[in-house]
Amino acid sequence: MSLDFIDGLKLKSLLEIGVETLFEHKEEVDDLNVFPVPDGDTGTNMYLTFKAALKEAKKASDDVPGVLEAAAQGALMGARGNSGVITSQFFRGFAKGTEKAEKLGISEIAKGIAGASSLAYQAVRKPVEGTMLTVVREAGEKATTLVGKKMKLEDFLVAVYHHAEDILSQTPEMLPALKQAGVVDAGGKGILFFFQGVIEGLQGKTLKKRTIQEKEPVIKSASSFTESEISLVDFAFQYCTEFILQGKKLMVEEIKKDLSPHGDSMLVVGNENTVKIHIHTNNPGLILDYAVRLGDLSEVQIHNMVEQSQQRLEKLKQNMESETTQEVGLVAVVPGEGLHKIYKSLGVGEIIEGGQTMNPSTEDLYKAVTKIDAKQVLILPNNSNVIMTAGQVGELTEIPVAVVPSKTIPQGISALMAFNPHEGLRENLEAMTRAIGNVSTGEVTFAVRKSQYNGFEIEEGDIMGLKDGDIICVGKDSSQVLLDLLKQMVEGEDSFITLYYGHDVNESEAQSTLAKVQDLFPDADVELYYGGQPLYSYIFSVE
Amino acid sequence: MIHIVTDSTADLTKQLAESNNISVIPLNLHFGEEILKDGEDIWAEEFYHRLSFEATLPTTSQPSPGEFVDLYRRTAQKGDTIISIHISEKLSGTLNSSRLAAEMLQGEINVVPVDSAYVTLPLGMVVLEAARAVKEGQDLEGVLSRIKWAQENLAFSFTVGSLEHLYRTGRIGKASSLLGHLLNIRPVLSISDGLIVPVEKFRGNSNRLDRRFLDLIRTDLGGEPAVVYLIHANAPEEVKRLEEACRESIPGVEVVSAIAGPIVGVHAGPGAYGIAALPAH
Repeated sequence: MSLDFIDGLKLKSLLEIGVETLFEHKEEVDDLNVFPVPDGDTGTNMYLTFKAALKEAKKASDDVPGVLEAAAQGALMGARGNSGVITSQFFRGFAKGTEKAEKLGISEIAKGIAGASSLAYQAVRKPVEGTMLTVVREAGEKATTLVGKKMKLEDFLVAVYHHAEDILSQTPEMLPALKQAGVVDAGGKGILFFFQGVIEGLQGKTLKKRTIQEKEPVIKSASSFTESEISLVDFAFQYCTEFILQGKKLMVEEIKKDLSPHGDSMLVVGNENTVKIHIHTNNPGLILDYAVRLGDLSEVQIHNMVEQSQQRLEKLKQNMESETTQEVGLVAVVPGEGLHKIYKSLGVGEIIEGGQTMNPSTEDLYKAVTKIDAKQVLILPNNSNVIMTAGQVGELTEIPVAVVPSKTIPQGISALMAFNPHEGLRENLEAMTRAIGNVSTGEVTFAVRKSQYNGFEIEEGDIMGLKDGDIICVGKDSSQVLLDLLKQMVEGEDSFITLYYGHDVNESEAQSTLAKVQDLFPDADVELYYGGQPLYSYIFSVE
Repeated sequence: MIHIVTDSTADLTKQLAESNNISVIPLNLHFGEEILKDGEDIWAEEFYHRLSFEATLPTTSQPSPGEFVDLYRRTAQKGDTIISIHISEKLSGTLNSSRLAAEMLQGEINVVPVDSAYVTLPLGMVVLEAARAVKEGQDLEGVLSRIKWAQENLAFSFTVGSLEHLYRTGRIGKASSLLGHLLNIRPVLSISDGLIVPVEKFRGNSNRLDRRFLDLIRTDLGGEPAVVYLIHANAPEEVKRLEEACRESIPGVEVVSAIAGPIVGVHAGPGAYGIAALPAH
């Protein structure tokens, strides 16, 4: 069957087959990612974005403008990752380019693709040639040249497809990173799989039935976490210990002398039968052990003053936070249970599980922004692949939203240090953006595929050390790679290193790694925290 | 004749006060039912010792106008002028009592209440500058403008052992933004416009913090200080270490240390310490 025009109903089914085809090949697209870090997401991100577009399109009325509008809206909300955001711009641009045509023929489709390209270029701050932008632009140009020629719709689409394919194969020539890795642009490939599906659908291919299970990113409310781990107050002696000692011939002065080396704030009062003892000590057991040899103990009380202080502070903080709508609220994308707690303790109101493999969608971010009780909101994406997505949220809500350009977890923390709830959105954005420049980020992770990068021959499973997103060392052991990476990142004696260990590292390993780092840099200030993040055994900052 | 009066929150030692002819009115410390006069009934060391095992946490209150009137009459003769420099009125009602006393003594003694917009060490420094100006023979205008100069040019930064004390006594103000920390964060604070304000959340060990304090002083002063003042609320080791850092970093610098009295100790909490400096003039 050969169609000359695509109507709304047909459009819906073609979209579905296109998305399905992309799904079938999504791992292939993921594998094209130049960077072998375990966030080879382009295929997944694009697929999820397309899927969101499709979902809305299916619900729309059966007319072409309706379907395209709905698809664009769905893509906008469901956009994940940079490739997802650009894809959503393609949808919007295509819808706009067709100028509400009721039927899509060669002329309309050409205008649509040209519109898609134009809007996508506008959306990207620094468009790079050799990416899906180039592929779609070229497709649009080719399509435009074919308008007016007498040909069947199917042949037209195939011709445009072949041209796009040619351009895709040239992308390694346009982008050195692609050439080095020996791959074509992943985003372009993803678009082509979708396009391929559309053409096959036109040619009569039908859908296979399947069910998919996918993980939705989780939005965790800051309030679902409790517990604090590290005490702010430096108590020299932690346990407030008091009790009454009853016996015979008790010698108050002797007891004072015996106990005084074991703590401070000591009070020993009484007579030879009853003595009240109060002392701040780190070993309450020792004190009790001593006393029990002298007589009977009663009204024994031992309080952990560190914990008590911590609890009081937590309570105070909670009281303060529950009081009023905040002027400026914070939303952050953070992977890992330990990191959640840290971010929450620094004042972040809503946390989105996101990080590397699961890039949150525009909608996920939007939901978090609207959930928070604040007049204005700052978003900390903590990932270069989420910055663009976060940038879309502002258009979706009346709430003033600004995106702090944090690309890593430590950058996000640095930014939070500069956050001042008494200042407005702009002042905070400026201060937080500046703070990001103060910190250098290191990451230790594993390679998901074989690759060549920066002159390294990387095997699948190799451990890689990244400095501010760039692979600068490769090895077989996480701990060793961490040390190698640190050696290249730590300058001067005065450094302040903060290590966050991930989910796959157990505490004793982390402690022993900490010791190695301290040995290697005896003059540096080193802190270790449990981050709990997946995939990155260590994330760290050097300041 | 001009006399200088201040209150016990200036944390001036008895020696300094006497040698500079400064009269000090005590604020009140409440330990449960007991009311103690700061610097007369109770002093720093005893206070911190008692604080660690007192069941109810102490509170503070300002001197009454009547007490001010008494002190003013004991300090000055009829026709004299008293410049009464006090703890920021945003932090205490002391200045208000001083004003009421001033009204009551109109025609008898010319009392000029001055809001230092500070407390503790910085207040003490402002008061000492005023006393010096008086010694130099300055008139009222001269002393007041010296006070103003000191207020405007003083650099002051401090940290606390725990923000809960400032919070509990209601003086934390905007510094509440410094609460919050699973990371090892030290709050860095200052006083501005008469209120306690946050400067930054500091990460790093005590030695780094010392260096940071020195940086902040240098930045505020626009140069190296000749004299550095240190204050602490039962944190002698911290101050000792900070003092060493000052001497290492600024060769030849004069370091003056003071201990914060009970009134300040209640609000700042044990473990607080800070650094202040004035430019040369």
